[in-house]
Amino acid sequence: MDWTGINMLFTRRQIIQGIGGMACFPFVSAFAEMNNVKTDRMYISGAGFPVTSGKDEFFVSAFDGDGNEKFKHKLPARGHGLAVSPDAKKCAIFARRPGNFIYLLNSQKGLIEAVIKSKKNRVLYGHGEFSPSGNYLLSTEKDMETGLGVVSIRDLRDNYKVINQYDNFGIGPHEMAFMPDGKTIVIAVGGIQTKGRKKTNLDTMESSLVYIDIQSGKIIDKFTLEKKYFQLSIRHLSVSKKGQVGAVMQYQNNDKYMPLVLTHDGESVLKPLSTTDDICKKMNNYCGSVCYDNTGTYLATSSPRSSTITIWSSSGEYITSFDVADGCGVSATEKDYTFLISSGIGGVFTYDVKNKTIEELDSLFTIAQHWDNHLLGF
Amino acid sequence: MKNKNNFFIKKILITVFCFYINNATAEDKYLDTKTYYDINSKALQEHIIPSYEKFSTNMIKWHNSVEKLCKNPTNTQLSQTKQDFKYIAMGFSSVMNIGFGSITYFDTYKKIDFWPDKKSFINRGLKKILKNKDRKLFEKIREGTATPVVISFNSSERLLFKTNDSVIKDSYACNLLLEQANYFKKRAFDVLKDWKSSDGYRNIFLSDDLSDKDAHIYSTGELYKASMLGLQLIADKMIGEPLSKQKKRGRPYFAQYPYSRTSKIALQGVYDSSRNLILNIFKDIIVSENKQKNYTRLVKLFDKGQVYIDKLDADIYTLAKTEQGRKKLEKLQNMIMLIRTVSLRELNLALNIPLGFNGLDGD
Repeated sequence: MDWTGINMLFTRRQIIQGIGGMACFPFVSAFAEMNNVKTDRMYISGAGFPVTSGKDEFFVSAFDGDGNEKFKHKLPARGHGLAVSPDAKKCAIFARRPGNFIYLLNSQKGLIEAVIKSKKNRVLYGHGEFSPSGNYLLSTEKDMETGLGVVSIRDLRDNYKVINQYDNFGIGPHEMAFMPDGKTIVIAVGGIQTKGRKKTNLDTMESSLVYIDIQSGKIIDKFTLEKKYFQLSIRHLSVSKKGQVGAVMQYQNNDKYMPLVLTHDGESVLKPLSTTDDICKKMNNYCGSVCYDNTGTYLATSSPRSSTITIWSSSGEYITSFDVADGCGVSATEKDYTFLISSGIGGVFTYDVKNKTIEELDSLFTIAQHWDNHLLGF
Repeated sequence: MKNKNNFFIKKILITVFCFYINNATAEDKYLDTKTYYDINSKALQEHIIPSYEKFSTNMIKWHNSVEKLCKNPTNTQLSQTKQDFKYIAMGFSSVMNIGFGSITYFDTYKKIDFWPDKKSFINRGLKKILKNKDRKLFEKIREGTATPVVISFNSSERLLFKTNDSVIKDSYACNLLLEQANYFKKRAFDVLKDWKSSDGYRNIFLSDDLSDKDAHIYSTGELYKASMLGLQLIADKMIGEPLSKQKKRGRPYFAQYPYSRTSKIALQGVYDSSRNLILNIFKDIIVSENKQKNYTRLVKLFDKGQVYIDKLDADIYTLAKTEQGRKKLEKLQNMIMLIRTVSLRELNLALNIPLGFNGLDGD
């Protein structure tokens, strides 16, 4: 299989970035900046709207940097993670765990290209990625018979047929991303066995970061947390341009407040970044998403249960925190050291780390929707 | 000079914001039990009980009007009773957003508020009832076990406005309307009594025991949801249903109270009730922590919303019939959604009760 597209003609954008399809990766902006052209950056997210007279409605929605609507499509249930193809022509939203659909969209025209259903006895775990060549779509899943986590690989040129799958890395894979080499994927393996959304193995769970060679399916490395952190579940991650992995966790106990952020640069044991009890308390044992900024200097994390956003440096220092009511989706923008943050209550905000300023997008479209867990800019 | 001033103001705002984010600590985020208790107590005295008093008083007025009609079934009195239907719109709208407590017992809320009647359930049911004239039905109404076909405001409106004046020609029809009015009056009185009584729902909502923090947080959460429910009802039900974005020409008959043309009165009532909850009951908690400007912004938004309501020159049913009217409704709907989002945000941060989409059920 041609994972990296080496045998194919690289697009200029792919050459600049080295890879495509990296979680949270702001590749359009780098292209634009180098060519000094105006970006046409776009953001995509799952959204919901509570309806008093009946069931809530769910959407996949996209908007530009000013918050103007690009498209909005109804979904059968809550969407979750998002992915964009290396040429930015396609994007995908994955059903929330345990779900059964992937909506593949033409991001320029805003049209639905396909609705891909999960295989029998499989449920989707909410995240996935396009391969760097743009020919394959990967998704994290669960095999309902074995209970094992699976990464399925679908061929976008052959009717979305599953052409390969790996189930050798553990239980409860969630977010995944390609490393800058374009050949390795890193998976946040939550370690929690579930029945529906009920957790069934909290006393014995083991979470890990797993690096897999996508060509062979071989595990390159598997990193776990120190024993005292065994009930921390690694759920979401982001990869910087330099290949540092930033990950956030959720503590599966309520006995104390735990640190929830880690960075990984090849260390043999995973260790949460040290911080004060106060910050741990502020994060309330729950992180919903994480993203590096455009430069890879800062990491933004969200804790919607306490409406807190925290900012960390790539060297592991806590920088600051601020409130965004039910803020959860975080994305890099085309500007250095700047993030876009979406609120589950409505509204999208820009946060500039250097100036410590927050500004809301002046748009009724972004205010009127309840933005779901993740936000992806491209 | 003006530019200099603007720059200065902007600088102050940025400085204030930086100060705010640097000094927020985990402890700041948790309110003490007494704060929640005080909010709930104020809400009970200044919002919930006055709202149910208004509901009860209006139901008495409505009952009196129907009683007069049945005693004196003339066209003049019929005309007066039709006008008096506004008491239903005014009375119920003041409690429509308080969707918790004893009004939910025996499904009262769901039954009396049955609309829009998308499958003509009430129309078909009433036709049969008026034909069969079964008096045992009155007993079911008194017990509260009847269906919305006979114990809903929608049913009363249809009986009065859409049955070829049968209420003055047919004593059964008038008695049915009277039984309904009696039921509304009695339930409104019972619910009010329950909110006032120390062994009623009042005691569940506002316990004097400050050791049970969760109970007080729960009650504040109900108030928070009530604040949002009112605005949500306006946006996606009172306007959303007749506007129906899926249908180009709208669905006017899905407006609340379409025959009596009292939907604007009801909308105003729900709006006023939501405004009181957010801007009066929650004022102190929003204003605290240097948030006076946020509160002022909310006041301005509610004022602006009122301007949009004032621009509605007819009831919602009538407006939904024309393109121009639908545009006015859509503008108001957008404004209400904006007010709702900003209010939800302010209260979420001020109260520290996770009720958002992600905080409640994230992944």
